This record gives sequence, C-alpha cells and structure tokens, in this order.
Amino acid sequence: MIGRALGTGWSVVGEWLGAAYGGLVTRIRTHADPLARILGLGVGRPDSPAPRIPQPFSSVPEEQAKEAKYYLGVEPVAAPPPRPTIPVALVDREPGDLPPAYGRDRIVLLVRDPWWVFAYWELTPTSRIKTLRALGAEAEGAVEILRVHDVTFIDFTGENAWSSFDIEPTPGTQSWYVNVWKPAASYCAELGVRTPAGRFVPIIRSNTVTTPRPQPSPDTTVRWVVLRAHGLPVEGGESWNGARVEHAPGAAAHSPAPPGSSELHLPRPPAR
Amino acid sequence: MARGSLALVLHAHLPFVRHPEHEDFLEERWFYEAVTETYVPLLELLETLDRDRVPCRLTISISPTLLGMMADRLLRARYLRHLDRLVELAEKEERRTRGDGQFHRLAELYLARFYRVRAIFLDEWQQDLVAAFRTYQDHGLIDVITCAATHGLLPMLALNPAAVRAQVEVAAAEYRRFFGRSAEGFWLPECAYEPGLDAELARAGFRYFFVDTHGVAHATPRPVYGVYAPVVCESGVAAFGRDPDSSKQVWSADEGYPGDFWYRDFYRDIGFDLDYDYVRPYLPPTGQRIHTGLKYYRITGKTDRKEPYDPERARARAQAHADHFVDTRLGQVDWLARHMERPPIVVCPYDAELFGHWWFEGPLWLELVLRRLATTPDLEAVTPADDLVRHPTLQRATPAPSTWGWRGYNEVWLSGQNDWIYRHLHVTVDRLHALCRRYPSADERTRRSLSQALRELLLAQASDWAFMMSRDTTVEYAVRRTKDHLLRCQRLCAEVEQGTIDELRLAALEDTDNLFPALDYRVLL
Repeated sequence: MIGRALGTGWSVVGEWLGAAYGGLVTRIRTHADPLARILGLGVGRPDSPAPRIPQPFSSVPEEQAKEAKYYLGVEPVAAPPPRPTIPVALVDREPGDLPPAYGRDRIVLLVRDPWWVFAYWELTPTSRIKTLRALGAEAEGAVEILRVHDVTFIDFTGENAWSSFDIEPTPGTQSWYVNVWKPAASYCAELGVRTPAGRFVPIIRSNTVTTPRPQPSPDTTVRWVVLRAHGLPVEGGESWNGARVEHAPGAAAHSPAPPGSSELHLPRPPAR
Repeated sequence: MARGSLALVLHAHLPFVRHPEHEDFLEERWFYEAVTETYVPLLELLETLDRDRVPCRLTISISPTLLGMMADRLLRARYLRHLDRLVELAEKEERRTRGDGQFHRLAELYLARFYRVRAIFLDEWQQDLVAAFRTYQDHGLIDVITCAATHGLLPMLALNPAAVRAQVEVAAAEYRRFFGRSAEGFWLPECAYEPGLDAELARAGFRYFFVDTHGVAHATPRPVYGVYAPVVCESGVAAFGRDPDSSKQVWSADEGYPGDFWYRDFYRDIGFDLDYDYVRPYLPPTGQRIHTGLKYYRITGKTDRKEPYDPERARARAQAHADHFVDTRLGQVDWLARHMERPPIVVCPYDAELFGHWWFEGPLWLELVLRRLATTPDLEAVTPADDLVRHPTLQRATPAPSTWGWRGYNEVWLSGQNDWIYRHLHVTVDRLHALCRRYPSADERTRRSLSQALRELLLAQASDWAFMMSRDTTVEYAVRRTKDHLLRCQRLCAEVEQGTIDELRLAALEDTDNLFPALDYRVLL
C-alpha cells in the first residue's frame, strides 16, 4: 500500500534531514578532480574516484525533483553578495528589516497538520498594561496564557467550548506550536492572563481553524449531481441512481490510518 | 470504447526571478536551465507528435510567474546569451574529447542538443515559448491550465479571503491575456486545498482542480470510487485526486524509473569535474563552480565510481519503462473498470521540471508513453476537461485539507524555519486591502502605486520562498526575496497613506518587478 510505503519513507526522512542539515557544506565539492588537473583536461575515467558531490536532496521523491529545480551545484566561495552592476534606476536590496511589531493586537491560528496548529500573536504593551491595571491587586503574579478551545461545530461565545486547555508560553515568545491531539476538529485560541487564583482574563481571540481528517470519512452518503457547462450542478443523474453504488467496494469501514496515510477506498489491484 | 482514461498532468512553475540590476544573477539560471532541459524538450516532443499525427492529450499547468518570465524581453535576451555560452562550451568539449571514443560522442550529443534547443527557441518560435504552447493547445495536443498568480500556498493566505481572490483572479486574467480564452483547470499550488478554496475557484470560472490522493480518499462523504473518478464540491467545481501508484513509479528516485542505473546522473557535471581555468569562463562572475548542464556519467548504482553514460542503453530503458508504465495502467484500469459503473480515470500529475532537468530521459519517456497510448485502444489519454464532458455525473463530496508535500499537509511551508513569514504576510495584506478599499477609483499615480504594492505583495506570497527556507536550499535568497517584497509593499502603502508617492522610485520598482503588466489593484477590493 502506498500509505505504508510512504510511511516508511517518512520515518527515514527525519534522520536524513538531521544529517542534511549539518551537511550543507559537505554537499559541495571543494576541489577540482586532481586527476583531471594532472592529465590536462581529461574527464575522470570510469574507474577514477568520483568527485565527492554528496547528493543533497530530500528522500521524498516529489521534493527531490522540486529541490533539483533550485539546485545549481554551487560551490561555496566566500564571495560578497553581488552589487548592482547596471547603473540605471533599478531597485536592488531594500535597506532595513521588517518591523518586529505592527502595533496591532492579534492572534492567528494556522493548521500545520491533523495534530498540530501554529499560533502567532502580537499583544501591544498598551493592551497588556490595561489588562493588568484592570486586575488591580490580582495582577501580582499573573501569567500570560494561551488558552486553546475545542469549538467543533460550535459558534464560539467564549463560554461554550467542548473543552479547553492552557499553555504557558515562554515569556517574550510570540508563537507556539500547539499539539491538539484530535484531528478533524475546530479550534480557537485566546491569549490572556491567568491570576494566581486561577482567574483567566482573555485579551485577544484568534480565528477558528479546522484540522484535516487523516482517515476516510465515516459519512457514506452518496449523492450524485450532474455538472453543467455553466452554473451549479443539478441533483441526481440519469445514468447512475446510486443504487448499485452502495455495494461498491470500499463501503466497508476503515480503521484509522497512520499520520498522513493515503488509504484508498478501493482495494488495490493485484500487483503485476 | 476505452476501458479507462489516463490524465497526464505536468505542472510547470518557477518563481519570478529577474534581476535587471545585475548583469549576471545566479538564480536566474533556474529559468535558463529549465528552458533548455524541460520546456524546449517538451515543445520538441509536441512537435514530433504533431508531425507524426500521433493523437496526444496532455495537460500542462504553466504558472503565471513562469508565463511572465517566458514573455519577458530581458530574460529572453539573457537566456539566449546563456545558451550561446553553453553552445560554445559544448563546442570546446567536442574538440577536447576528440580521440576519446567514450566521451566524444557524449560531447557531440550535448552539442547537437544545444543546437537543436537554439533552433527551436530562436528560429521556430522567435523566443516566444508562450506562443509555442498556445499553438499546440490550438492544435489539440495539450490543454494548458493555470495556477495561483505567484504560487501562493492558498490555505496559508486564506485568513484574508481577498488574498486568495487576488491570487486566483490575477491568474485567470493572465491566462486570458496570454491564451485568449479562459482556463478551465486550476492547479492549486502544492495541491494545497482546504474547504472554501473551491468557492473562490468557482467565482473565477474554473471547473476543476487537483488534490493529492488523501484529499479525495478522506473527503466527506467518502467517495465511492476513491481517486478513480472526480468528485464535485458544493461550489460545483470538480476535484481530481492523484493516483498513488503511477506517481511513485515516476517520482521516486530510488524505486521509480528515474533512478535506473542506465539513466544519466544528475550530479556529475563538468563544472566540477574539469580543470578550473578551463570551465572558468562558464561559471558565474564570483567564480563559484556550478553545474553547467554537461554531464557525462550514468547513475551506475549506489557508488561514487560512475561509469560513462550510454545513450542507446538509456533509450532502451526509457522504452521499457514506458511500456511498463502503460501495461501497469492497463492492468489497473482493467481491474478498476470491473468495479465501477463508469470508466476509471487515472490522474498522474508531475512537476514538469522533473522531465529533462532532474530526469534527463523524462521527455523521451513521455513521448514513448504517448505513442504507446495512441496504439492502445483500452487506455485513452485524456485531459480532466475531456473527462468532465464525457462523464458529467459526479459524486458530491468535499475533499479533505491536504497538500502533496512532505507528510501530506502544511509542514513544509509551516515549520520553525519559515513560520515567521506569516505574521508579516497577513498584516501586510490586511493593510493593503484596507487601503485599496479606500480607493474605489484613484488618480493615475495612486493607481500605479497601489497596483505595484499588490505586485510586491503577490511576489512575497510565493510558496517557493518558504519551501527553500525549509529545505535549506538558497535560504539567504529566499529570505531576501520575502523581506524585499514585503518592505516594498509596506513602503508603497505608507506613501499612499501619507500622500508622499515617490514617482521615481515607483517607476524603478515597476521596471524591476515588472510581472503582471495588466494588474489593477481593484482586484483586491
């Protein structure tokens, strides 16, 4: 099964990436083939030791080809970045850097995969101080908290989440990867402060995101529609009424697949 | 009637890399290499099939950034200069290797190859690659589709729907500008889908898109035919899922065809193998050794001792692999057809640059597959649009969020190496969006400023930068591009907000980042 095969590929890729990370320098050959030098310009013979150009690419097939697009085999040379060489009114590098903050309270969730969401935020000093002031004496010992709510199928009001959990981000940090455990669920996060007495005061609330379903849907309803050249499809179809489809292969229940698996509903054809 | 259909889909894309401020810019070579090794060989293949009247149905997605580069006069001129130097190097190689039976014929092979590329690029198509693809589309050999304007990873931009809309609508408009009609298919960058994106595609008039296998396999409700028939979203746009088996056969360097020991090795290149002074004129101004494109060895095996490339043996392997591919698909559709009430469609999407650049024999293999399909009545090459016309009855289902990247979701583009970009991308799109809404109409200067600001924002949104950061390839360049475009956009916003538009600088930016010449900021309203 492709799922299993890919799973195996992925388990090795982690190790590989680790190796490749430090291997940026080793990917490049730093010396000309000595034999070629001695012999004048001869191409290295088949039995000559090959130049060491370690293959730097990912072991994920798609990404090998994709990385190859950007691979020029450049040998690292301590060269200064190129300066503009054409003296006309064109724009080169922008001076300065992106602003560290934008002066706008905001928290955003992005889905990484079925089990992880990424949260980033900016909390302006004004908002933080205002909140702490409002807490009065309770502000003593209050900590900044990221509260993550499971709001699957809920129009979240701040009170009605199925469940919530707190993360205490490292002070000063502005982003966090949150392990949400349950795929195919919706999440919303609030950044706020929690007093030593346990009272949580939210300051900013994020967008709501839904994590992917990593396995076939339990919903086996079948609805056929007919596409039209223009406009929305119409329900039903003359050629198929769906009656036989209920017995189509794949109607059987599937067990949850491993992360990222590509379980298909149709059984695989026999290998040839 | 055929037992089943095969949709071969090539996705051609490169980020917009054009640096007029430098006489010779290393990363521009991505484009030059892809033209020599992939795009022109594809045109050559189409020409051959057209001439021999071999029926051919191939789907090619060409990203708007790539269309822009193909149409750009500066890049065309620079490509020609690059190609001429390549020809010169190959001529030198032909002379140098005389008397060496093994390598001389390889040098001749490259020389003939580059002459041919030059003839196709310059003489046959007058440097206009877009016209070439348009012609083969008009001849019915290919169906060209489009992709998001700058290959933005749409689920990461969807926080502000206007950002997605701009990526989709600019792409649709560019396609119309180049091809004189509307595209039916849309290649979601990295096959990245989440529910709701299809509605944006429907709004812009697209009829179908592609997702990875698990996008359809995990759709709701569960599709009864798996990936072997498209499903249709509530918006009326159809989704085709990737066939896992045929993907692996072609993609995988280890288990797939491109890893065959008789095929040419990608890494051994005379840019590294030969004496420095000899290759120096063909290296970048900084003098770094780099790949030149002349590679004389075959993969040989998991060894550092590579043997010389043997074109005849490689050709025989390509034929064997083409036959194997078609035979396997025949077995697949034969089995599937027995369980389905409609002929199955097997969808095989690949990065176009896999063919020729990474897998030297790829274009040959593709030609042999298409020729074999032409004589195989049970399996028919189709485009997804053909399939929708023939089989308009589809199951209603919403694909699952997915990508075709590592682990199948967003991790490649959202990791410790690149997650910092999103706070800047999101805040900048919100700022520009709000600003554009203040100008339902604008004077010429403001219109140009806002349009250029949008151009810069789109360039910053390209998924390529995040990909490079996560894969540790040309990270510095990727970071630079992300920051430069964001800074330019932010500065233009500030100028419009404060009424202090710097016209000289605006003109310079328009000349430097000159893609989408017809772009109007009102697409963001």
